[in-house]
Amino acid sequence: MLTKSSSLMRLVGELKKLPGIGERTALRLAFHLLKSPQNLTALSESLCEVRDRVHPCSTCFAITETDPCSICSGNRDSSVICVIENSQDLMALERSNAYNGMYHVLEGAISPLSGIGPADLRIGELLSRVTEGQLKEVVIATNFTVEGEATALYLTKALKSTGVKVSRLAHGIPLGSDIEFVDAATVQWALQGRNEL
Amino acid sequence: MRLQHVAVTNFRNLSTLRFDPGGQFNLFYGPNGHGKTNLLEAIHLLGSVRSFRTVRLPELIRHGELRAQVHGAVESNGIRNELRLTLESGGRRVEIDGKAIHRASDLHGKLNTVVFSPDDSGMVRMGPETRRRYLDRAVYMGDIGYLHCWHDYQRILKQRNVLLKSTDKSGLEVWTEKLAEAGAEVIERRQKFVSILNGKLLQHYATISGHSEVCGISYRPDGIHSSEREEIKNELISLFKRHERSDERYGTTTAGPHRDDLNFLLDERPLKAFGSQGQQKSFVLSLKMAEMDNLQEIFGVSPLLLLDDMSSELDAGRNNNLMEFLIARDIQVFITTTERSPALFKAAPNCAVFRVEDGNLTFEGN
Ligand SMILES: [Zn+2]
Repeated sequence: MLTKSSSLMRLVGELKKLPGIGERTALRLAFHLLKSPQNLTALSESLCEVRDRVHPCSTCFAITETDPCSICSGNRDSSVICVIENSQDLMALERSNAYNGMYHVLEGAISPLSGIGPADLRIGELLSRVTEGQLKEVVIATNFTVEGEATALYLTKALKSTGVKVSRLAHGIPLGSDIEFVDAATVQWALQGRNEL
Repeated sequence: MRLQHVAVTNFRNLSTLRFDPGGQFNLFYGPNGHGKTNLLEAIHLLGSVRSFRTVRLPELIRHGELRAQVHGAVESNGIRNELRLTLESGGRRVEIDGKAIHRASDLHGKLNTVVFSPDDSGMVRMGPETRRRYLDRAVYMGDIGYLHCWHDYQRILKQRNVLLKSTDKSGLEVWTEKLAEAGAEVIERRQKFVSILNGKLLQHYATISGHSEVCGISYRPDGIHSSEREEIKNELISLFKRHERSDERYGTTTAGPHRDDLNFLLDERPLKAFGSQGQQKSFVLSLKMAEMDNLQEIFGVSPLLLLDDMSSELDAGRNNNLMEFLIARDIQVFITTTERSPALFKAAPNCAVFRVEDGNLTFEGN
């Protein structure tokens, strides 16, 4: 019989830490993995690989396996930076094929309720990029939540002294929604209709 | 708007109950504490998701049961919708015609109800938060945009209050400005509602009381003189700035639309202090009529009236005034009383009568 300290129960415990996974689903997943040793090996290897290889880009903080990432080192318009909350937002914007500039991932949004202040985000790094580079425009694409909007306002104020043009993703995105869940066409429209702040 | 069928399961003390309401007047009578008000509450909840009583969700579910359900078939402008509300310890769900809705605003306007209960009369004498809650609910009923700015305001307020309590207050300026932005929209929409309602209120009060006093509701948001959103926002920023030191001391936002009051006035004097019992009753009744008229104008269809504990609220004169009003506007009414009052039947023709006892419902005819 399995004890609380058994390796299987440890796996169940780790699975349960994942978002949207409860006790029953964790057990089901663990027993499913047990059925096939090959699957177990593949999963454990891939987990280690991700751990060892994936890290934030030292320039834009998007997750990447190379440094700088393929966007930072690629042949793209380096006069525009699009500021986003996390790397998933980057993927949504890239799927739209409407944008050929650079990115900057903040790694979150300002939220006193979650103990996140401006100093906890990559805002200092963004300001350095803006003052050092030959930048024409910063597009703020934080989420249209209360926290994302407050972050956008904070950035607008912080960027004011740099004199760079600042715009905000405008129309088309449902209010209160996360950009991640918006389809590519809507994002494309929003990008084209961005407003100067 | 007509509620054509109602089914309630495991809601408070009501185990299972289904009935087809009459087209206009419906009377539910029976001893107090047997479920009459619960039935009205269930109907109200189906249209608004929020209760007119202040409650926590688990209190609405019958003791020992997992979930409560309210189902209603509503006919409005020739369209029939099936609404179903499910309450579980984990939350509430609403389906329209079998499809789950994801935002409270999808339900907006599907079943409009105006509640008139003893709490409304009490509102005159209670503290500002009671009237503020009334105002928020009444504005939202006719203004779908209100919910969004109101929720934003509450969320930003929470964020700002946490920041005020912490030692590192960086970003406070941004939260203050966002709070002013959302607050300005809240205030603007409240002002608009109040000015529309006042004209109607005045007219009904004159009819009911037969007197010439000038009555009105007055909304004077703290620190605000403008009625234009951009200007209100600037005034709010100044208000928050003026209170910043006390805000930091108390660790909470001490001024703003979340503290505002709604004043009830008679000849420009507070109704609470200067109005007689009768004047207060006429005032609240006129206010409810004005609300019904407002919803009728916005949606092009009359709302339902849920009239709780009628005998305590209305004497014969006001009762007749109300009945004439309801008949003229073809409003479907759900009334609760303790007794089958003969006076009511004279004023309310073809009233469907239901007896409510121990959470059970018996139809006693028209
Ligand atoms: Zn990069």
